[in-house]
Amino acid sequence: MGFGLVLWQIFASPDVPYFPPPIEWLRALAALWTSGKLVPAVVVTLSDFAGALALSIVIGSVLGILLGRSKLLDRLFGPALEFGRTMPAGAMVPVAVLIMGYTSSMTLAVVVLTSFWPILLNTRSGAQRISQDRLDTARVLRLSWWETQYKILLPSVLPSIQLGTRTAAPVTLIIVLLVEILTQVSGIGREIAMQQSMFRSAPVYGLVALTGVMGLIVNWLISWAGHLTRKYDPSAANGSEQ
Amino acid sequence: MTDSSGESALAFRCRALSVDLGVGEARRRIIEDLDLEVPRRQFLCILGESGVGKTTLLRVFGGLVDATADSVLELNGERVVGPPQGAVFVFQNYAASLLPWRTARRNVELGLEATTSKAARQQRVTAALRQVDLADHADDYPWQLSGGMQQRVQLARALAVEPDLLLMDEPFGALDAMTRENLQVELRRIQQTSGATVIFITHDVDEAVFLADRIIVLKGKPASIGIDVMSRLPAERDQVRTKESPEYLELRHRVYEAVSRRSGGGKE
Repeated sequence: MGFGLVLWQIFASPDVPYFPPPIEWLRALAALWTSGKLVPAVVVTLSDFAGALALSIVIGSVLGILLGRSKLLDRLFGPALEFGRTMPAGAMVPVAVLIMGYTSSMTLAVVVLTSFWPILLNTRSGAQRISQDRLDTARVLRLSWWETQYKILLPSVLPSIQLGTRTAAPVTLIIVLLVEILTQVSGIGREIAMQQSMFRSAPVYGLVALTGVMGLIVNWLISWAGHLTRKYDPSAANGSEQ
Repeated sequence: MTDSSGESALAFRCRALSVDLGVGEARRRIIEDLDLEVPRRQFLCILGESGVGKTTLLRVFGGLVDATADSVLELNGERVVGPPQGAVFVFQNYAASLLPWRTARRNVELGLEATTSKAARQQRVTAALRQVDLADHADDYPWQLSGGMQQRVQLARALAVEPDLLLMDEPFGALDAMTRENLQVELRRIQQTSGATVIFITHDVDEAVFLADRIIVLKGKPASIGIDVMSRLPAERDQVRTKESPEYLELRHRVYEAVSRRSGGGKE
C-alpha cells in the first residue's frame, strides 16, 4: 500500500484536481489542524464511536445471553431479529432526526441500532452452546442466580462477545461517519462533506485516509484485547492435550 | 447398622421413587417404584446396562431431575427439592464441568466463594487438593493437566464443600485403564478418610466390585432393582490382592450373572 502511495505521489499531476498527490493530503490535514477544525472533529468522531461501541457491547451481550438462554424469548423475538438486522442504517437517519433532532444521542441511536447485531447474534449462539454439564455444575455447587450469571455464563460467552465486537467495530466506525456525512452536524464526516461541497479534493482525501488509519488502530486494539483472554482458551493455546 | 456418632445412621432414602422423562407423546416411565436406603459412610455402586436409567436415577438423587409427585426422596431426613445441601455431583465429562478460565485452585474454590471466608477457603482448598495429590498443580489451568488430573480436580472441588453424599456418574469412564485403576484406589482411600457416603454409577462390573460396600444392579424397562448385594471384601482395597481374593471372585461372578441375564436374580 505504501508502494502504491509512492507511485501515486510520483505520477499524480498537480493539474488534475480529482487525484491530488498524497503530500497534498498531508498539507491539507496540517492546514485543518492549524485552523483548529481537525482536533475537535476527531474527538467527536472517536467519542461517538467509543460510546456507540460500548453501548452495542452492553445491549448486544445482555440481549444475546437472554435470547440464547431462553427458548421462549428466542421464539418470540427470533423473526423480528431477522428483520431488524437487515435494516439499512442510512434509511434510519431521517426517522431518527425526525424523532430526536440533530443531537449526538440521535447519532448514538442510529449507530447502535446497526452495530449491536453482530454482537447479539454471536453472543446468542455462544450462550446456546454452553454445555449442560457446566450449567449443572453451577446448580450442584449451589451457586446463586447472580453467581451463575457472572461466574459461569458471562465468562462462557466472552469469546463470542469478543468475536462479535471484532465484526461490529469497523461497522460502527463506518456508520458514525455515514451519519456525520448525512447530517453535517459535527465530526470528521461533517468535515469531509463540507470540503467536498467546496470541491477541495486534497482535504477530502486526507480525511478519508485518516479514517482508514483510525479503522486500522481500532482493529488492532480489539484483537489485542482478545489476546488478554487467550491464556485460558484451550482452543487457542498450543500444546493442549487431553 | 449403627453409627457411633449417635445421629441417624441413614444418609439417604427413597420410597416409591418413579421417574418420567420426555414431553407429551414421548413421555416414558424410566424408573418405577424404587425403594432404597443408604446408610452413612456406605460406598454404593449402581450397575446396569447402558440405557437402563442409571444416570437419570443419579440425577434425580442430585436434585437435577424431578421424580414423580408421590415419590419420597430424603437426604439426612430432609426432602430433596433441587440440588440438596450436603450432596455434590461429580460428572463424567470433567472437561465440560471444569471452568477453563480458572486454575485448578480457583476451580476447587468455586463452591465455597459465597459461603466461606477467604482464609477458611484457602485452607479447605489446599486440603482438598492435597487429598487428590494435586497440591503441586494448584496454579495450572485445566488444559495443562491430563484427563486423570482434571477428574481429580473435579473430585477435589466436590470434597472441598465437605459433602455428606458424593454422587458420581461414571467419573472414570473417559479415562485410560491405568489412570482409572489408580483413581479407584485413591477414591476408596478418600472415601474411607472423609467418611462421605458415595453413590457411584458405572457399567463396569470389575470397577463396581472393587469399589463397593454394596452393589445394586438396575434391570428392566422401566428400571427397578434387580439384585442388591453386600460386599464381604475388607475395607482396605488393593488392585492386586483384593482382585485375587475368593470373596472378590465370588462377588464378581454373582454380579456378572445378574447383569448379563435378562431375568436377573432375586432381591436380597
